Amino acid sequence: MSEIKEGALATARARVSRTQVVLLAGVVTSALFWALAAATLALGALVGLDWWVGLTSQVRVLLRPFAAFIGAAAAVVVAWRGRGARSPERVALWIEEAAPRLRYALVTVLEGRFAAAAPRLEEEVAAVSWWRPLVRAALRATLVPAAALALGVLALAALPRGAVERVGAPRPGDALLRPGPRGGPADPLSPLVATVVSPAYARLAPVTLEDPDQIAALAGSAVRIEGRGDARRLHGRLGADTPASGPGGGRIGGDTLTFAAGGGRWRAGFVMPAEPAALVLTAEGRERVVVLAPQPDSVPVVTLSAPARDTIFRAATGVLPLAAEARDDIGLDAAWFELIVSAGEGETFTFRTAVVHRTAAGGARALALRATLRLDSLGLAPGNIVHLRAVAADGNTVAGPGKGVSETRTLRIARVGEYDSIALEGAPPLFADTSLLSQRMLLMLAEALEARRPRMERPPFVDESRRIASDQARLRRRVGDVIFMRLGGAPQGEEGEGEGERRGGLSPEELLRAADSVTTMTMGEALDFAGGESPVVAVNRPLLEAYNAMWDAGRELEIGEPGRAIPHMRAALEAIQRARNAVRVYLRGRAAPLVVDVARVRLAGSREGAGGGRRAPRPALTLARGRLLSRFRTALPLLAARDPAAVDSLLLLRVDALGGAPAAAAALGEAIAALRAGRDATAPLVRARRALEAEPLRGGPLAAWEGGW
Amino acid sequence: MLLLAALLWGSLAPAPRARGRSAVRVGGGLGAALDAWTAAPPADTLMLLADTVPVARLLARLAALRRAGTAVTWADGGVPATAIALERVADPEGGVRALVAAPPGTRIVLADPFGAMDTLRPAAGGASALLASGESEVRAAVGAQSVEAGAPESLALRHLVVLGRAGWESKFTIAALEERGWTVDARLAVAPGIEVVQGTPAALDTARTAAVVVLDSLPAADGARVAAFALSGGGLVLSPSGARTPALAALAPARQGPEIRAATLAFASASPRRALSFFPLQLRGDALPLEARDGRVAAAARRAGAGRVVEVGYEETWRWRLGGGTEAPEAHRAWWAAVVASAAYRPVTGRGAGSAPGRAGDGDPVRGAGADLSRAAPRAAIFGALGAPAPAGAPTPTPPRPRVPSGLAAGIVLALLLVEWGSRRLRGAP
Amino acid sequence: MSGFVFATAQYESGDWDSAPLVPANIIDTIARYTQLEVMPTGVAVPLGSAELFRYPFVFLTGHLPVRLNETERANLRTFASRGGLLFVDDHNHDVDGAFHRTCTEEITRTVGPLVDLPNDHPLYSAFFRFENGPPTTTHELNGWGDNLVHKHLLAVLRDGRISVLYSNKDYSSEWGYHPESKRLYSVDNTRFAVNVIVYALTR
Repeated sequence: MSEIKEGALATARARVSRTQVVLLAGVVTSALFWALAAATLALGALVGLDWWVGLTSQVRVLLRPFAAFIGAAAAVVVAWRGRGARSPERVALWIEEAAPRLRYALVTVLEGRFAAAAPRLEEEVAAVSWWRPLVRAALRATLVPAAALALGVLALAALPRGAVERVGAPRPGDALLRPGPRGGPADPLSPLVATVVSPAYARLAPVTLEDPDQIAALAGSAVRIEGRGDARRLHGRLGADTPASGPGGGRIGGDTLTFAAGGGRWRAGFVMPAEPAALVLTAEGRERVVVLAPQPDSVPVVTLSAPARDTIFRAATGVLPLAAEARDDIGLDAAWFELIVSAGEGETFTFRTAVVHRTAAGGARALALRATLRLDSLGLAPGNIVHLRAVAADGNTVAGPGKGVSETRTLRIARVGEYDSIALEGAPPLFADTSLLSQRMLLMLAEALEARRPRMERPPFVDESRRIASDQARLRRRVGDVIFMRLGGAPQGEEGEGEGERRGGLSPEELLRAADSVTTMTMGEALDFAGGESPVVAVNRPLLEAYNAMWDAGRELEIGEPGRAIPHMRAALEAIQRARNAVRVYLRGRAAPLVVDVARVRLAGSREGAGGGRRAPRPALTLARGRLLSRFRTALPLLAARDPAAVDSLLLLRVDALGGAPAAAAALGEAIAALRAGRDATAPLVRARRALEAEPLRGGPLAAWEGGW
Repeated sequence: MLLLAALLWGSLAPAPRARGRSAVRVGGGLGAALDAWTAAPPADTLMLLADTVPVARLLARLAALRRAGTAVTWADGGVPATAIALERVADPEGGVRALVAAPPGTRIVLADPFGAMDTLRPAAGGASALLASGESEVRAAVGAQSVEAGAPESLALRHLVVLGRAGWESKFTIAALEERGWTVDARLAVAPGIEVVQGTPAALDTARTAAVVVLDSLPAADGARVAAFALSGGGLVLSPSGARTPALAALAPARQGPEIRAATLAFASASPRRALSFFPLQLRGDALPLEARDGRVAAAARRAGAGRVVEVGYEETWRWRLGGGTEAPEAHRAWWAAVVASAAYRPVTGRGAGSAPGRAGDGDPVRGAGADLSRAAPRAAIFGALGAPAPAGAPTPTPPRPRVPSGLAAGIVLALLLVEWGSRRLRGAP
Repeated sequence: MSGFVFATAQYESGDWDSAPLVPANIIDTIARYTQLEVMPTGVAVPLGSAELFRYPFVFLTGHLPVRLNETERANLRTFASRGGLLFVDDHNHDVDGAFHRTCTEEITRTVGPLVDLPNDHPLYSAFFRFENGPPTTTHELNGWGDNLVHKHLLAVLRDGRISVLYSNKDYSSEWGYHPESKRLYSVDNTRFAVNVIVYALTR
């Protein structure tokens, strides 16, 4: 009996358990289907909403998770409502409800309180089948949400693909996916998508802008604009005053802007100009203005931290630490130290340039340069000057690499004797160079004359030769003047024709003898000051050589033999060159400034052929700002009248203000953004006005005189 | 109970009739009062108690009542003596000079349709301000009283002629004026018979030339031509050297004293010309000082014939442009523009906007430019419309005070009594 | 009026005083041909000092590299923007020389790009007429320096006006003699300086 009871109870329990499993499966399936259906329907509704009102990408990014949340919520609700399936008692009660013939026998059996009646109750339970209601319940729990899911799927399928994609996989630039109004051609001016690809050197990711009022990008960036509709209806131009070039094309930055069409869209590309400009797109009498605001690429900023100051070295030995820092807004390409070594003085200088420690920066925005410089390796001589600076280049391949340089440090190697008690310093020679150049010219004239000799008659040939001889004589006298000056005498110039006059302690004859004695010496032979020779002769030996050679050349030229004069002239030229290279020392200190006797020479010169000429007026500077202000004032009433052209006017105004009135341009940008967003733009407009308009000048009390005071 | 009885009596008794004279305040229901006067005059005389001037429309109605035979008088309750006038400045960059009359100690708020512009503190009868823009009307508020003036008439600017020797002052003065927008004709002497010329500086005529700027002493013939131009209505600006031209010395507003060295070495933004040396000007009897430095006149003006002559004591203003702060070039331009504007011949080309009180109509607020007058000089307008105010000692009726209707007050008191009675009954209180 | 003062730019690097006779010679020339007020001596003005703004015309020359410091650059930029004229002469007469390379780099960086000044520019008719542009110097003719006869001067222009006039012709040598020697020349070779000064004073 007991076994029977247990067995009967187990049978009823087993049937209930099996029913419970079916019901649980139904609940789970239903929850799943309802979740999918709710998510799909919600997604469809959101797609429709986006299609209708055009949600922003920031909002659209949230729609998919929102739909998932709706689905999950639906699943939770269904699961909660079906939570009774977890309890056998609740399942039994559900069975009792579905099969009233049980008359609570099943519940009673499961309850186990009436064991005596169990077999009979078991029989009653066994006699009742609840298969049909169970199947109906399972089907109802599955088919209804499945139908809802199908409805949702159908709704999504029925929606335009682009609309679904905007919500399903939102991305920058998908404004073009939003279907346009039905029953008419797409508006080519809206929406507009711009993709900016910065120059490769900038290493910036492409940026996509939807419906931009302004495209700000590095100059030289490739800009691609895209819109919907027929490209043939579209015109484009740069700036407000540039006429459209015709359907399908326009001009921008001097290049033709070509519109390509395909897939119901138009596309165009251009390079971001170097100056602010307005891209004006026109279709069917309507305009769309986009401000092109190029962003400049700044040159690197370089700071030389070591050596910290200009220095004079006693000797060109040792190691010099070099340190510099470079920074750039985009990225550095390389940095290095640059040296210029100047050697020489007076009129003769030689220069060497060198680059030290060139370092590739690889696009880094900051770089520290560290190096050492061995002064010995530069082969510096006393008096040499090293100009040292740090240089950094960015990677700008559009406008050429921008080079930033540091301040220059000057390192000088002291001259011999510079630290002696009497400081001496080189100073430029006065007249020797003129002599040198004139001698070069005379030599060329003599050579040219000699070359023409076979084709010339003797008399004109001699005349020409004597003219050169005359010039040679004048030059020789100038060289003589230089020698005299160094002895303390004043230069006599060309007016000092009387060579019989004693100058500088030497007569011309003595000078010539000195020159003779010098030129008969072996080059490099030590001068004998003890022999009574004047120091001026010793110091000016090259010039004396030149003087002597000029004398000889002049004599040959005088007799019409330029061919024989040429070697002497070359010798004179070579001697003058040596004179230029000779080390000269003067007492340190600035020469007393020459005071011109202005009154004496006033209007003494011939003004033949002189005239004052005409002056051309300067352009007005401040009217540009006035024009901007006037345009601003014109746009304000349009704003008050809510005319859409007002924003376009402000956009064009902003283009022109970007160059000369950046504060106004910034305020206008804020105002335009506020107007586009439907916000109050009063504050930025007031700031724009303040930036464009000079503040009132307070004139104090009422003056009795009208006008500007 | 007595109070209740009094209130009930007051609410039921008929209102006392005005006896001969009724008063109304500006802003205290003047429009409604005028409506009532139009329908049925409650008294013989309407007295306006004015601390501000009514708007033009109401002032016109008052004037109409007066003309229709109603005795309308007004009591001056402190209507501020306020007026505004705008004049266009002879400056290519535009600009308007706003002259606002206001009592000392008040505050003037200048505004235009685009917003507030500046605040002025009047002294000695008023204040003036140079406004950068003058394309719209300007409003000045002095306390509760507002005055308005429309955009002034436009000017036709002629050329400027600059005469002098080649030098830094001439170069940078011409540059400043041209950068400001003036068209400059110039003749700069370089050597005998050799001049640098721009435009046609020889044509001195008010049909073509607004002003002549003389930077150096001129030959006698040129001086005579310039003097004739000034006397015929043209403007003349004289530098210290220019004023030494014999023919022009007679027109100059002042004689020059010995040169005074710069007071400072650096050009301060607030007083940059203190870093310039100058020749102090000793004014002639009919001359007016325009600029002073340390108690000495540095610029002066006078009328000469039909023209205006301005003399400046500075000879090397170019140092300011070159050596001043970042604002120096702009300030140098503005200063020279002000100098020239103070002398330049200014022919009016546009129609009169009626902003100046003296030109605006005959004082009748109903006709002609009366409305403009009312806006630009309201105190003058109320005198024009209603005549002189009642003497200060004359009795003035007290205007009706706003009060709670006595019937309503009686009702409230009655309701409160009922509440009190009910409360006592409910509490069983005696 | 204090008159025209011939100012020589004194810069930190280089031999700014390499042409000490040029100022007196030009002052003499100005007085000789014009009635402009001119101070009888020149001055040296440091590019890095505020003194620069007392002299709207400044002459700069030298042989050595020109490396300006930030103060000098800022001053020069302001000087040019306010209407000053800087006349630079390469005393090396050498387009490959250190002076030319460094100085043109500094000018370009500080004031603006140097362009060829056309030979019909008003500078060449500001007083004397130079039909063929800048007068040739003997240094060019004799092949000194870069062996070139330069056809143009260079200039930085602002609104068509010269802010910086740059010469490779070595006028520093050509004009570097005592003014008393001028009478020895049949044609005064400093006449072009009058044009430069008159241009600076009037344009």
